[in-house]
Amino acid sequence: MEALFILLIFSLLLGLGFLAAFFWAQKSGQFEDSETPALRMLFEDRPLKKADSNVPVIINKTDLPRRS
Amino acid sequence: MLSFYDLSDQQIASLKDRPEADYSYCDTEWFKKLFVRPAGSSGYSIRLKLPAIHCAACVWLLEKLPEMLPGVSGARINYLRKELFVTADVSLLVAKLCAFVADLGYAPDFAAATQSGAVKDGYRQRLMRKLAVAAFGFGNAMLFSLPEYFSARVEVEFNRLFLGLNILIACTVLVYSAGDFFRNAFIALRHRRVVLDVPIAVGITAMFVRSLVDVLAGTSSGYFDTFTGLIFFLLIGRYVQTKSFAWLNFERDNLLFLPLAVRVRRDDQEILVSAKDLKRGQVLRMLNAEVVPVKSRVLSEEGAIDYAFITGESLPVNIRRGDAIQPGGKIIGSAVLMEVTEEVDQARLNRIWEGNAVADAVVLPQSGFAEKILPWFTGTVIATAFAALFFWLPTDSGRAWNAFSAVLVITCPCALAMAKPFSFFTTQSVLAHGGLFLKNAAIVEKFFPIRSIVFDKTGTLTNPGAFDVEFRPATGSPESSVVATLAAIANESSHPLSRAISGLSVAQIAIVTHFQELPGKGISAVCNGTCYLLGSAAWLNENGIVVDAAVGDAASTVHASCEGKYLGHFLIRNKVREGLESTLTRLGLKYHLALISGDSEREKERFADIFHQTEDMYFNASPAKKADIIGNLRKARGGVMMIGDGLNDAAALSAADLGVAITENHSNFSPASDAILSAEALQNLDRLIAQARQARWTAVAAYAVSFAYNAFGVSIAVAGNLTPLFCAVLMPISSITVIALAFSAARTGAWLRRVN
Repeated sequence: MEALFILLIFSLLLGLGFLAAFFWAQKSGQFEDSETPALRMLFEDRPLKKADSNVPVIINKTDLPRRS
Repeated sequence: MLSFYDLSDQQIASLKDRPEADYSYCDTEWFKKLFVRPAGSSGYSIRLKLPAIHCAACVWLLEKLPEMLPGVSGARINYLRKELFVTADVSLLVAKLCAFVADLGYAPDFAAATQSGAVKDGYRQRLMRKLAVAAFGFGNAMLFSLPEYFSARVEVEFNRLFLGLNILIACTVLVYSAGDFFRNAFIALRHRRVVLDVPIAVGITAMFVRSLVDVLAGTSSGYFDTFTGLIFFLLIGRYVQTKSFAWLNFERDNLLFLPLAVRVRRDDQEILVSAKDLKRGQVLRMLNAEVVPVKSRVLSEEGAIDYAFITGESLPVNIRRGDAIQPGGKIIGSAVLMEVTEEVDQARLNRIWEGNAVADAVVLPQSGFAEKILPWFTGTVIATAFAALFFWLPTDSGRAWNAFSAVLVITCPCALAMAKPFSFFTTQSVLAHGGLFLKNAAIVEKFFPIRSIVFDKTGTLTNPGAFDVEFRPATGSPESSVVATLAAIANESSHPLSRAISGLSVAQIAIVTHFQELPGKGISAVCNGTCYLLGSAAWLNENGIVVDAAVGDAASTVHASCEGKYLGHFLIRNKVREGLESTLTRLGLKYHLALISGDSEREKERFADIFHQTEDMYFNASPAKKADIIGNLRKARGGVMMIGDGLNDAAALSAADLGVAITENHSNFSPASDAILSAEALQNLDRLIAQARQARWTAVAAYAVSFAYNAFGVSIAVAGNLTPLFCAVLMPISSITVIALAFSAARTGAWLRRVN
């Protein structure tokens, strides 16, 4: 029965992991826009001609500042 | 994919009819403070609201911005919000960026950007996180309580561990997720009001304290699973109340048209100053199509100003030196110099630019028809609990406290708290399928007291883009060949009346020569060797043709002649919307109908026919008078629903109990209103209203169900026989019953009425 303690810890960790994943996803803005990614998917991929600047290109929404 | 490039709307932003905009104010400090954020080491980011975004190709084009404009490093569209998020290097001026985007056909709307419900968004996101934590707690507390449900013999060390974990989870949920309920209950009690959060806070407290006492005393494992589940369901109820439509703007205000910056004369130079910082005595220079932001006095010799935004009067007013100008007027024609006489109302401007919406409005539960029973409910619950306490106290004090807390635990109004939000939420979704978009779910309640419906005429009942054209010949019956020839001639002209007439032609080839158009008068042309004239009665008279000028309104009648012989006239009227007459007949059976129009009475008979009535038809009504008429109707007959389309209806829309703006195209302007109706859904209006009103009975039924569950629970609780397992089963079942009831009622209603 002692195995149950380990399983219990795993189950809690798993749950907490999903919770953390949700918090991360929300913080990175994945729930803010449910429409555009579906449209963007239709466009043909072409390597983005990088503009000459030292500002990072935004790929991930984590880079976006929050709405205040 | 073949319909990929089909445009969702008829109206497309055209670069031609827009005045050249000046974005130089985008580089001023105050603008940057409001809209521009630093990003990276030497870059900045800006969020632009672009109302013209309407299809996937817009996304494709605008996200190519980094390739088109050097200095832009990233461009992201949020399609639903119609927003473009740009990051760029500081070497690219903000003004240049804005001008470039505007050149592509997407003029940024800064007023809407500042206003787009950031407060509500933050609330929704916080709610979502609280919901996630409650869901996590619910699942795990349930899991740890399972052994307890199925057997009483759990090994001691496991039991301790489970209880310890449950307490930990419950504390987290209490602190992180349930805080708002206590705060709202506290605020409401301080204002001596009972809102739903009061019994909820009582129930939550009772459940938590009772569980702790039980666990410490070792009598049971407590109600922690029910507790976390309760908060999870309650938060779902709160979440569905926040639903709105991100792409619609219900808050349009006259002031949104005020310019961000204006040109101020200073020492023979012109500088751009924020409209907020204008001081009395400063001299402004306003150009064509700019909106005056402040009360001021004219310094130029003369000019013209259009007050359509404020009064609905479509003809410009001439102004002279010394005349006072009201804010909101739009300059027409030549530039006008003016002196500021009164500073801008800071509070009102702040409300627009900085979007300082009242946060309480979304957080506090509103009071409505169902909230009246809440004080009674809370009173009954507390009375029952004390009755049980005093009943058992003389004989069995342990059972007395048990019964007391059990009543408070079981009556925690979870199902009750779901009843109204879910009834309204499902109704809101169904109505949106049918083409009626409510500002928020609480608007459903405003449909209940409606007794009369008031319509605006132009643009609401009539279709602004379609015309009914009728040819009435001077003598005899019309020859189709004559009409076709006249239509072919009209086809050469771009005047709106000519376009309407040209719609009559049946693709017949007629060779039109010597075409000549005289603005404000008419057109002349030669076709098949004969000379035709088409135009106003006065112009034909000038050409020596005897015209029957009394036949119709000059603005909508076109007379025709051939070789000096009068042929007859075209009568052109706006088409009424499709299916309008039968809709109004059906609505007339249940509601009192009225018509308010700013137009003249010339179409009174036509609309009296459609409305099957002659009373309550008001013409020549100014915006203020429209609001007055609505006020009188409210006094005489009760709830009024107003349906209108333009800014001149804005006053009437807000004066009515329920203001509905009708629109052809969702990105178009629509005045501030409670709801937005798609034009094509007007013919289903009676069904949509019936669907909305049904929500009341759905909510009542849901209340009845939750009361029944409560009564059943209380009957067991007062006897002191409540067990955690019973509680853990009853609470979710009652909540799910209520949710299922609300969904099935709305869907069945929609299916029976064929709303979607």
